[in-house]
Amino acid sequence: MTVLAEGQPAATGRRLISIGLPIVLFAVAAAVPSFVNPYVLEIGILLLMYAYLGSSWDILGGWAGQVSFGHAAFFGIGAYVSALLWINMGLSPWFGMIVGALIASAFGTLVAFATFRARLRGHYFALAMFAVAQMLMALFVNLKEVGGVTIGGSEGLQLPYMGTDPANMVFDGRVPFYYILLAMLAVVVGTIKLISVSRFGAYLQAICNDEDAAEALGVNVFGCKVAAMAISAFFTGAIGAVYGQIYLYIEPGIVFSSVYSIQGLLCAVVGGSGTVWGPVIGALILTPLAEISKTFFRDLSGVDLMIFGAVLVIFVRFIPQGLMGLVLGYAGLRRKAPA
Amino acid sequence: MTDISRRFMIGRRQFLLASGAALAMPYVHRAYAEDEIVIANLHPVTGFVALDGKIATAGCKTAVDEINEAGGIKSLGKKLKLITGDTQGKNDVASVETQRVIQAGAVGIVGSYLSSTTRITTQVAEQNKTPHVADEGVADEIMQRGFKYTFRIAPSSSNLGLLSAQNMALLMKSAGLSQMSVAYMHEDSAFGSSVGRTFPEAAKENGMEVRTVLSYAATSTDLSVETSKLLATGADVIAASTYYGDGLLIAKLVQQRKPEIKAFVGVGSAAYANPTFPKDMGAGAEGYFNNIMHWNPASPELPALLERFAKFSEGLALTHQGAYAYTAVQVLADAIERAGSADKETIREALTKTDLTDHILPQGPIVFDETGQNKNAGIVMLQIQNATPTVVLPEQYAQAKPIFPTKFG
Amino acid sequence: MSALLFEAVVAGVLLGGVYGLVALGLNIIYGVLDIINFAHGAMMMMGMYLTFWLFRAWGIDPYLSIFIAGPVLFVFGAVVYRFLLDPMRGTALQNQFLVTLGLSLFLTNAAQAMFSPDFRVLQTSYAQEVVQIGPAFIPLTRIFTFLAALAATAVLLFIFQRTRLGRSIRAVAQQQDGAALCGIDVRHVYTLAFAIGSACVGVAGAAVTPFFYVSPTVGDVFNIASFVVVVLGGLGSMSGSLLGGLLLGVAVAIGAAILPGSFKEVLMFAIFLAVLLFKPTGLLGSKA
Repeated sequence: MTVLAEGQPAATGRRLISIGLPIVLFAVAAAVPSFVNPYVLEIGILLLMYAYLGSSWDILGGWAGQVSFGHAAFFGIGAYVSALLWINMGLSPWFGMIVGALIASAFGTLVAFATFRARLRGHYFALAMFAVAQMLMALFVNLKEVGGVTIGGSEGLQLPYMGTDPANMVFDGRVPFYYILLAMLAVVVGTIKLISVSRFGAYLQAICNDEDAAEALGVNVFGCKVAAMAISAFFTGAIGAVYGQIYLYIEPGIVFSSVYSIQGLLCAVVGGSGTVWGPVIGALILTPLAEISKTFFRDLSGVDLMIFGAVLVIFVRFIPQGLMGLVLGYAGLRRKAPA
Repeated sequence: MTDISRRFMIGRRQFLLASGAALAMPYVHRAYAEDEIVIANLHPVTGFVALDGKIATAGCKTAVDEINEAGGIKSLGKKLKLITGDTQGKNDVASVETQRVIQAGAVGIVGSYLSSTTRITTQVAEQNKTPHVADEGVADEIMQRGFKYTFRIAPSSSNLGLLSAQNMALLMKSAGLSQMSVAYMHEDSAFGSSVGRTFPEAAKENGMEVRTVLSYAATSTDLSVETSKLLATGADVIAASTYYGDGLLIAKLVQQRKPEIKAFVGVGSAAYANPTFPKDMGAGAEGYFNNIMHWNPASPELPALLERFAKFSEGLALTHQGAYAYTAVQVLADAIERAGSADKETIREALTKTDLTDHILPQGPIVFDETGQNKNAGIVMLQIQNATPTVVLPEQYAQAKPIFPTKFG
Repeated sequence: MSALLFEAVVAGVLLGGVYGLVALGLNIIYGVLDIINFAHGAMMMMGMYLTFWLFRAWGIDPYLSIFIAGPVLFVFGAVVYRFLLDPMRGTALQNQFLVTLGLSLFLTNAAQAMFSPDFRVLQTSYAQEVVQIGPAFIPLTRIFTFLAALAATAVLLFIFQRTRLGRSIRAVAQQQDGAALCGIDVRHVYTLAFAIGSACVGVAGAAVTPFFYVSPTVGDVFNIASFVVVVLGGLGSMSGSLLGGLLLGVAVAIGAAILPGSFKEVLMFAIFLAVLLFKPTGLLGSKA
């Protein structure tokens, strides 16, 4: 990295831009709620959630190259831990969110130990993750209570609502959640940015490009993959808790559903996985696309999702490296797409 | 290494793209004329319960068409305009759609069929101080949150279980039996589990012996073992809370065994009262019972309603989903009429004073208690007789006497 | 109880044959192309609707429709491969996944738009016939379907083991470059493999229609089970699919008989994970 700084006289200026622009843009995003109506704001919330899910997923899926089909496992754990702590012990979801994220992360580490020790890669790992999420769903559906604590089974948990209660992350409108999600997105994108310039990030890229070669070069492949999983699961768990606070209702069929595994992957791939901003851009494209096709085909049920599916296929078919990858590719700055 | 650092530099390009997309977003549609009052229905028109959502939507359209043809909201001299939101049966989508229809000027909302999405649509409506008449969405908790803007037409799931057990007790007495044993299975999602929580207790309280209670996943590829488990208990009656596809599989399996049971009774099942059930089961459908929300078959408005419904239903038959959504729109329109205003708070107050006798449901007047629940909400017991779902209980709505015990095979 | 267990085993074996066929299709595609086809269930749904409409329109027996649904899905698979998946060769895993996922979304919702979300069921004259085997009553359709699935599987295994076509497909699966050097048209073989894999679900779809319902989302029901079967039998192992199918069918049926609630679903994924972790090559797999 030092080589680069010397070699480019404009580096300082560019660095200023690369730090300044995100700040400006997050500021613009922060101003959005004052200009839009609640409907657009609601879409904004979804968009931020998907961007965040995509970014969290991409730490493992894009940077470390370990594609997961089961991140809903962490999403659901975060949601349940925070909700249960709040309902049963009165612990504020602000803390519950952290505890939920930590437990999701610990669980992720456990799964990583098991799967990576068994040398699962590629499809095997992806399917194992899928099974983990599905199994947790089936398990929670059948868990009515454990040791006197109501888990709710398939009926889920209704979280208490008594008007705005900032100390417990309950708000009457959606604006505060917009800011919470925006701040969380800033944290996860910031983390990815830090990873991207760190030694750890370089290791991850090496693993992503060729695991065996990285091993041969002395990279601690196993450790790095476990760490990537732990970070990725941590962030995914945190947003699960926030999801519970937004909708004040969680059930296994929802929080462990493959929707939350796939949304992240979708945004990352469409936007460009393994790039800092790819997942965010993916969410910026996909969320409005879904909304617009719904608006146009409102009277023909099913057609909107049909179009969404078709656009997805065409998009990935023609821009397999994702939009960010395409842009970086034109700029001649992109490494070869991970195979 | 260089690669990584360079990518770090490219930030601004990424942001240009991002901001472009962000600016393109705020499109808003507020498409209604001054002489219209906008109401909205939110239903799962796509996704795994799309069939129910489409029927419910057709029910809403029917009600609006009927009201407008009769002159609209007379106290305001305006016609109703219905906008439809598709929840896809998903919570986050339901939330977006609720905001959208409120933004589009809806003064009242009808929906959203599933309990899970109804929790969300009512919550968003509450926060936006918009009256929300829930058609179904039977989970108990929905009406226990102290919401001021939520009203519900359908009975709660506990009540559904209780009323079903009472109907079965009536059936038992009609055949002069002093006792009856029941083996019960329910699908394991929120709907089946909530009914499954209350029905067995209620059955015991009503003098029945409950031999077994088991749950299963509605998406199972095979339910033959579960069905055998039930039959093996030797119970007089098999009871089941199911969705449509799984309910059909179970019925076919039961049919093939030609069991010596006295009856097969649905408890809030989506299958056994559906008009397509006799078509799908053939002659084997005869005799199946179901306890379910329904309409009053003797209602004088029914023939006209069915005719009008056919205009909007794309060939789908009327079911309780349609009838309840239809009634929910009527209740909302009645409140707007009495409020004489498009002000949402005034409409809400009018809703609390609802006393609607002129409706198609098998119950007394529609009156809401302090939580917003329809006090007189009722269900009926249907039996497939001559390939037609026929109301057999309670007596005042019955079209025919129940045939019990039922012959199988 | 033992009667119930016996019945569970019989029911499990019979359904397992179908799992095996569906999984075989998935496995051929995976083994040769290294693609996990998430549209597999949606394609099965196509086969089921086709069978349903052939019966409704012309009264064609669903078991005869096997010979129509199979070829139709074969052609469909070939087209999908050529135009969607072939250009994606060599791109990242998640991209191929997304293409098949998008395809699945497209097909499911196209079916909904065209046929409405209505559940549909076939009424054949023999639908309610039952055969008594020991203490168990087994629907005749289950037996027919099992035999059809078994026959289809046998034909495919024969093709793969004994014919020139099968040998070239296996050659490509093992060594792409080597096969190309030997003068095998690799792209052609890929297309064929995807088409054959698709034909499998066409056949399976037609074969289950006599006793299952048809709806736009019905594919999901079989999709997940077939993933489990493929892993259980061994990713890439053709004969493993059948064995895996039978084993899963029996395991789940026994689970249904002895476990409370819907724990049989948990059991299914537990088996899945256990195999992945302790014997990722599956029972008969060799390719890791």
